[in-house]
Amino acid sequence: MPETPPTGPSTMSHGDQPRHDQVHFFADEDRVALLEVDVPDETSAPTSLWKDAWNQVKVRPLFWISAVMIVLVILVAIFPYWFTNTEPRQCDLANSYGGPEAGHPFGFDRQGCDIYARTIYGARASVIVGTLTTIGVTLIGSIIGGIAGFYGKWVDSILSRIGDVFFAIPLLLAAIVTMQVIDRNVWTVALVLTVFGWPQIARITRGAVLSVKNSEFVTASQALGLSKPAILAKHVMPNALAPIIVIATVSLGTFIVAEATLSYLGIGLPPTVVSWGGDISNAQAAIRTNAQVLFYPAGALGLTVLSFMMMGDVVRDALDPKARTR
Amino acid sequence: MAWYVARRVMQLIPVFLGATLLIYSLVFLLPGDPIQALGGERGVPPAVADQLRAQYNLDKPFIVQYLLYLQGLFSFDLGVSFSGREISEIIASAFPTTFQLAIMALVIETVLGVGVGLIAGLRKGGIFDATFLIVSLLVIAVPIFVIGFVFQFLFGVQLGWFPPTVGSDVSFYTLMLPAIVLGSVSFAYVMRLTRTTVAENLGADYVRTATAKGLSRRRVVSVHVLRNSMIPVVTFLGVDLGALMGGAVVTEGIFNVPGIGNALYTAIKAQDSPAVVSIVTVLVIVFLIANLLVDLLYAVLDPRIRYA
Amino acid sequence: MSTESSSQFVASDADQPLLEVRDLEVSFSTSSGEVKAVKGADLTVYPGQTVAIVGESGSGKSTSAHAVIGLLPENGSVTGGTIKFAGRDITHLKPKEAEALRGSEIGLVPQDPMSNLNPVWRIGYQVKESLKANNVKTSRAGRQQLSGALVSEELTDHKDDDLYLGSDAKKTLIAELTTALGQSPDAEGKLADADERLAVGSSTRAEVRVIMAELGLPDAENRVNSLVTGGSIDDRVAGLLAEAGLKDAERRARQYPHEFSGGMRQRALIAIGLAARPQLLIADEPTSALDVTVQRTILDHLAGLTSELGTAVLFITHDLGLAAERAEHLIVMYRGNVVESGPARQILDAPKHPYTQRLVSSAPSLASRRIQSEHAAAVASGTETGDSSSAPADNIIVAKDLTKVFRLPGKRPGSHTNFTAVDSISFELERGKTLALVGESGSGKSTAANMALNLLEPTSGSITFDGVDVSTLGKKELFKFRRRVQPIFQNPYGSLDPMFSIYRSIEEPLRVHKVGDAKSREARVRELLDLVSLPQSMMRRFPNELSGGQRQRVAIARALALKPEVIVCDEAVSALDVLVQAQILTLLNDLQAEFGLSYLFITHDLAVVRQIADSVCVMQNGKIVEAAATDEVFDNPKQAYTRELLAAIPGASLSIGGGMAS
Repeated sequence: MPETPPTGPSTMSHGDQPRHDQVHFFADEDRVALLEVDVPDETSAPTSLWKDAWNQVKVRPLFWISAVMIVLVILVAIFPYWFTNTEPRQCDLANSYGGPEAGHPFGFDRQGCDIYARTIYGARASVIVGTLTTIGVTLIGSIIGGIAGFYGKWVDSILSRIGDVFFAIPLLLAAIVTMQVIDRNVWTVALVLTVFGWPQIARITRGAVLSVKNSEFVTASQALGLSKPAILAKHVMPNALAPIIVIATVSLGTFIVAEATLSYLGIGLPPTVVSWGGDISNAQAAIRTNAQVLFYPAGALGLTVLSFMMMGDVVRDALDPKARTR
Repeated sequence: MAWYVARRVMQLIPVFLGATLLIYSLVFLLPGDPIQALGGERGVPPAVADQLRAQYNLDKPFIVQYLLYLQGLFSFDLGVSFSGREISEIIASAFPTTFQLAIMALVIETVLGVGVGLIAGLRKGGIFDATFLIVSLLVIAVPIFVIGFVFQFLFGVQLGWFPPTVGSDVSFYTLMLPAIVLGSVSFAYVMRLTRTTVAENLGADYVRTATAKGLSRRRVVSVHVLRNSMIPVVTFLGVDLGALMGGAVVTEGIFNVPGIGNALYTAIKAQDSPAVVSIVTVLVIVFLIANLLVDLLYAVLDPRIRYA
Repeated sequence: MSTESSSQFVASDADQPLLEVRDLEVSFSTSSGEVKAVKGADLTVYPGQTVAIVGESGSGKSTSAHAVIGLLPENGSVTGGTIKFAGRDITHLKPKEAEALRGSEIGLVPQDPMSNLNPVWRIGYQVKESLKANNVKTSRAGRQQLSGALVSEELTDHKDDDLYLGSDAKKTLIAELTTALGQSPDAEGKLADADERLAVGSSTRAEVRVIMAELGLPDAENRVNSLVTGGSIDDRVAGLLAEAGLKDAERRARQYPHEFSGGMRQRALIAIGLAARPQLLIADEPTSALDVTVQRTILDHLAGLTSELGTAVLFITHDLGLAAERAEHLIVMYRGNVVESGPARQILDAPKHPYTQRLVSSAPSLASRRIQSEHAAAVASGTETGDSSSAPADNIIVAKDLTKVFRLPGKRPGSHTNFTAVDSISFELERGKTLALVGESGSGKSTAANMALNLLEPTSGSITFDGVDVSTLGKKELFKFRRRVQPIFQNPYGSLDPMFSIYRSIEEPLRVHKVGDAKSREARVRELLDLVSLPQSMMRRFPNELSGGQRQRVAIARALALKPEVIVCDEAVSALDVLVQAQILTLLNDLQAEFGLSYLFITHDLAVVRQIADSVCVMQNGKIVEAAATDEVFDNPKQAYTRELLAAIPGASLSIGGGMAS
């Protein structure tokens, strides 16, 4: 093993004389000006996380495409009568499987209902269920996850176990079982999906809170005398918001799909409510002969979900902390 | 490591109890009298009804019913369904099929998902990446039953590459189409996750150190990048199993696969509560065990966890 | 001389530069366009020489080094100039050529030991990779270019004398020695000696012969010659780790990075960097993340290794003292340019460029006295300046027998271990003065600070603030107490809430303690920003727009908001560049003079202590080992540990800034 030599610059073969290209050199002061140390930049406009994110997002075409689609879907859901005059439930058997004609661009389904009208009115159920569920899941999940992550120890153990219990029953199975029990309408479907869907957001919130919890600004707030709940609400949660927003946006799409799946299985919304899932279910038999009965509601459903997924992607990229280095 | 396993198993017990209790309560709240439903339109004479009730323990308080049920569970006696069959027999005959279907779906989604994700992550921003990003979005956005229909129609009926339904003919070949459909959504998620993780890990410090050693690019990617990227993917797969089970109900319906999903659906439609409870319980147990296995696999992949 | 390494480069001549960089330009493509990180840098390294590049963050020093080894990130590229290695132009190499170069010709020891080792593979595996990738023959030492000691001249006759010791061979030899020594009195000592000196995979047969003969193995020459037949690749891995200074190398090689301490990981990285015996080793701030004493040991070791192997070293650092101590030739970089270069001594004695002059004057070294501000001088002249022992000390904080024991979860669920972070310490902070708590990581200084801030409850002992025992305070009084003691933390990137504007961050203390109304609070915020020399327009901005130094100033403003009497600075300047650090220290000194603040200054950097503290407590493993006035501690250190810390300060032995105005 080598012995430790004396410290200090070693003297190699050239002794004390530096080589020709290693003599004392210094740059011209004009060429490399010495700046004042640490001068603040007063010229650019102030930005916050949100402004920064907005700046990133507004230049992406994907954002605008998905935003337009989402706005369109919401308008269709709230004001279906802007888009069609036909009543979706006014069906004439005589028109069964009729082709497209004036005023009925998509043709008729098996019952003789106007497909276009049903497609338009079907948006409402999906959007309402999706929105209600997302709001519910985000509120419950973030609060429970935030408390669990921040207070830790017993509180965390109990809340996490409770979350695990609900998480252990796959969403669709739980919904299938529960929907047998209760009245079936938009509110109950949303409720069921909320009750079994919150653990995912809770887990993500808990993770985000855990990583923020040990930041020095949290310790500084404690040293200031802020109470624990105040710290959680004012300092920790706002910093955990970014991942919550991302997952909420994507979840909206997933919940719309979940509702459609339940309606397709016949245990979601009742047949009296116009829904895309139900229409697709009914269209099963006709897929070989009259594919349009399937195509239009499926297409509408797909596009709606797609718009939320794309928006989720864009939002995630904008709020990604790793991309925000200055 | 042993303590890690023990701790995880211990955490499982309250969750298992809580979940089974929850399921049992949900089903217990079924409206109507299931005994009368058995009799159909004619109804059931009171004497027979009482006898049936006693047989199914429905006359006892809820908690007792639940405990009796748990007792039965541990002795593999799952009771008798309203249709008269032994529930364990129903499950036993249907389970292997679903298991095979699920494994096939899992393999497809993992192999394809990781493979495509790896390439997309390595060439982030390129054509391959952009294409598959769009494909994955589409697959996630379109519900599984639509994909099911379309594939069944296209590949089963029109092109005839696979049989459109399975029925009693269960084989690797006949299950192929349903497996692809079942794994499709998960494939999209796995692909996206792999892509993001790979792209992230490519910039990691230890990757730069590995390159500085003089390792070939191929080795750096396979030994360092890919290996580390598998960790979040494995975690995801455990969680995804739950979605797979839900999707199995739909897929088995469309392709008429004689598996548990179908059995469950039939039981629900028939208001066959003993069968429903048992099947869902078994599925939950499978889910919990699978998650435990995933956690163990995670510990194998990430040595830091073993000592936590 | 013929060599066994697969080098395709000409055997180096000591008069030809090994590395020649001329007019190097490196640009990065970012979302806001092309950014030039290096603007025309010149750099030369001769074989066997140690050259240091010194600069602050953003100077381009790391970028230049990475450009040499071809490891620029995705969006970076060399846009101008040439890089020549041993006469060959390597500026734009094809991937396969670059791979051949890396590891075997140019090695890298990176900066952060935790993130630079792959957490999922064992250490030994990661070292092995380096050997395999460069096709290194691992059974024998072979001949090195320019090497001196490894294979001495007289043994050139014995062909296999450079074979490495295998682990089986070592076991057998130790066993034979044990039987040979039997019951003799110094048997144990000799066996321990043998165990330590026989390094598997590193000691050559020649060396082993000498050692075994010395320790008394009968027929040593023949026994060694027949047993030592060369090591396996695993043996060589252990040998490399041992050469880098890792104890118990064979066992350690089977462990994972997270089981190592920071210093051990750095040694592993050094082993990896030198595994294939490159001609040039690039050491990128190799010890910045480590404690000073560990730093010194590792750097000494590295210097020894590289001089023995004849490896040239390109040393990147931000520490001027360190660079001058370790390198013959210095290059100072600033904002992408080389502003000064030359022999280390000349630069320190007579720096010519204003930036270098500033660096030299700001270098926290022993020679610099405590920064005196004008106010302090004026105040000092008006008050008694007699020795402190005569006047009764007005202590604002007194800690007595303070202890903190943590319960850590043990391996088995339900079990726990007790960890004593702070072990019965006592100290006094005099009003208007600065007390420094100095220690390395794990010394307990931060825990002590947290107890002073009443963020942690002591397990036993007491803290008295202005005569009142803090543990007796009720909720209301505790709340009022908080106004009088405020913290400033280390990490400028974590001490301000990123969601709060600067205004909100500074205003928060006033709000929480209900001081004044909105209007008066705003006026106070403006006042505070003036105090810390930040423009008032800063109020609207958010932390991510500010530099590290600016954020610390905001943190200081926030700490001052409630007019506290004591400020606890927990490594408040440790994360800042040297020049910025000097600015903040001056600011702190000025504020202390103006407001009569008392500082409890926690730091690991003794050199900084020299510049700011009146008295010092040196902590080790939870205990205070030495406590005295600053001058005392530095001129007359009594404890061995204190002396060790002092000696470990980089550049301590050099005198700095002999020929320039301060």
